Amino acid sequence: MNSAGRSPYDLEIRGLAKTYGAIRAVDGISLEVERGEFLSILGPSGCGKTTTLRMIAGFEQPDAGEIYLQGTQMGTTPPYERNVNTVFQSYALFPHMTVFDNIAFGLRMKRLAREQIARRVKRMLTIVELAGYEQRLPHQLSGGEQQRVGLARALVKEPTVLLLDEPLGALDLKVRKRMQYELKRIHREVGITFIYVTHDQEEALVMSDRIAVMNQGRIEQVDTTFDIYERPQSLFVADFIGESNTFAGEVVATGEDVSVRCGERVVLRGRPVSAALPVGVQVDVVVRPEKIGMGRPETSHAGEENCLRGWVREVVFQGTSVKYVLDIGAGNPLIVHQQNSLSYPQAEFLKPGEEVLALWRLESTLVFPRR
Amino acid sequence: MTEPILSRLRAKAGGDATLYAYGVLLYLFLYAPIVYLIIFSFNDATATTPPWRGFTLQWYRQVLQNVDLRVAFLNSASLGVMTAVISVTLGTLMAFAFRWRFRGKGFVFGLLLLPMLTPGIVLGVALTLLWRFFRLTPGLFSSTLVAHVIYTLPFAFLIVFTRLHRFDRSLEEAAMDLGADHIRTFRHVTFPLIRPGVIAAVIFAFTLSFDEFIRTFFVIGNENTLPMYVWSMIMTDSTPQTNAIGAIIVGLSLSWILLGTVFLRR
Repeated sequence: MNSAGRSPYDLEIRGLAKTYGAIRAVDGISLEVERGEFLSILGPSGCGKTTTLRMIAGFEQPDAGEIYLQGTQMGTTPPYERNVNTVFQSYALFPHMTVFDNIAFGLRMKRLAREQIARRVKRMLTIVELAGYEQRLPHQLSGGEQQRVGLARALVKEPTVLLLDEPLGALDLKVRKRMQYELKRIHREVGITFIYVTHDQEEALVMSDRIAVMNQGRIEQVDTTFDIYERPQSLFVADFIGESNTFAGEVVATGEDVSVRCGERVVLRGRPVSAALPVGVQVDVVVRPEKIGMGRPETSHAGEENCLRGWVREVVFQGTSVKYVLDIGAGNPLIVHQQNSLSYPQAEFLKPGEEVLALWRLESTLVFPRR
Repeated sequence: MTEPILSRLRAKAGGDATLYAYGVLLYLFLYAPIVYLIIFSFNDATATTPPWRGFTLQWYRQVLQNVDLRVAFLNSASLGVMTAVISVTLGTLMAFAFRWRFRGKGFVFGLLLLPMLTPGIVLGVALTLLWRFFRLTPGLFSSTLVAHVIYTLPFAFLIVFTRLHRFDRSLEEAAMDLGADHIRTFRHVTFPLIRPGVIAAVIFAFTLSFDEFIRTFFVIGNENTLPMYVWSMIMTDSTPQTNAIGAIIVGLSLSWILLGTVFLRR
């Protein structure tokens, strides 16, 4: 069954589709995941990410398309014969079994020798830092501990691919943050391919090598975390990941870059993300709040291609940063994030009503054709 | 058994005499008939009523020597066991069927529970007529067993169904994900988790069958169950032996339920 070495990918998905009644939950997606990669499938709820994961695990049968594990076509292979394991959002620990028995379950199903089981469970418990918890029952553990057991139970089988279905979704913020780093560490330690489903863009950015952004059953973009953030290929991706300012406008001049008129007096210059955009096309212009600098209205700024006069409408102190809401007359207000690097903040912050220049570079301005 | 409850009641009421009296009366109402029955099973007299003539165990001795009674008891016990096994097996299978979506699910569910509300006399008459129609001989392990299974099945189904309904399906997915096929998933995960419900259903079905009278009365033919025997005893010659039988049944029922509770807590 195993044809390791033939395929460079641990997981390949070709034209996968699944329909529930009239709803196209997964609408023809393809994806390759390299050995040892940490790939997140990110998207809003109902985008088809969990359905995709369940098809990889074998809990759901696709209507069309194929799944290959290390080059082997899965077809109708049942979950218990697939070399993938799942970490569930609800943990799904067996409540009538101890921590040891939970983790040993998969190995016992494989009918491994008793000593071998004991050794592998022990090693797993060390990796998830739960040594000494062998005889506890799931209900005696905290949420974070339960999820570590869930993780150990899946990893102990040394699957080709580990599937994680929003595993941190039920944990509170602090535990979640710690578990993110724990998961990264464990991923490095075991070297197994992780497919991580989440709706939390920050979590996906922190943990992944690559992110596949899903929307309405389709994959919008698969890229490294850097490219997903810096070079989103669609307005949806730009909007879903991180914060962004979006302005609707019309192309008024075109060349290597385009000029877009947004509102009466504002023309923004930016880079079209895909094809060249002819004059007259309706577009959306996106710029990230932290890419924008601010200056005094009387000074001149030659370096930045976009320079707009605006008025401070709101100032929100956020601790590590300050959020300004500016009126620039382009339809939507412009949100600007500035690092709080001031030693004497009160003296330096802008006040509501003050006039400022908002400045940013051409490269930071993404122009998407209206779909 | 009532003592600690009464003292707690007294403590809570803070000496409120009305509440205290109410509690006493309530418990008297509930338990006096049974206590009366047990006390007079030890009465050294041929009448089952006062006055008290002294302590004796002769009625219990008679019970143990009563061959007809022993037959009736064994009939009831084996009928109860068979009823429980059949009812709980069928009920459990049906409870599993209700995990699937199918057309008319609500209607079928209602239809399954209907025998719970059907008066005993209706089922008794219906089965009698059915047996006559097919010219069959009514008996313990034919018509009576059928009547008891029909009667207890909805209860067994409902108990297991409730348990299964709360069951987290992702546990079964986890088991399969970890390499257990359907049979091993059932053996290692599903069944151990619904076992308390299944045991409760067995106890309940057995108890219902053991005590059943009306339906049995119609379809028993010329055999006997314990309730039938006790009834005929009281109707013909009533001695404190009847009390002794009653006391024994009370004792058995209590220990049976106690055993069930122990299992359920596990």
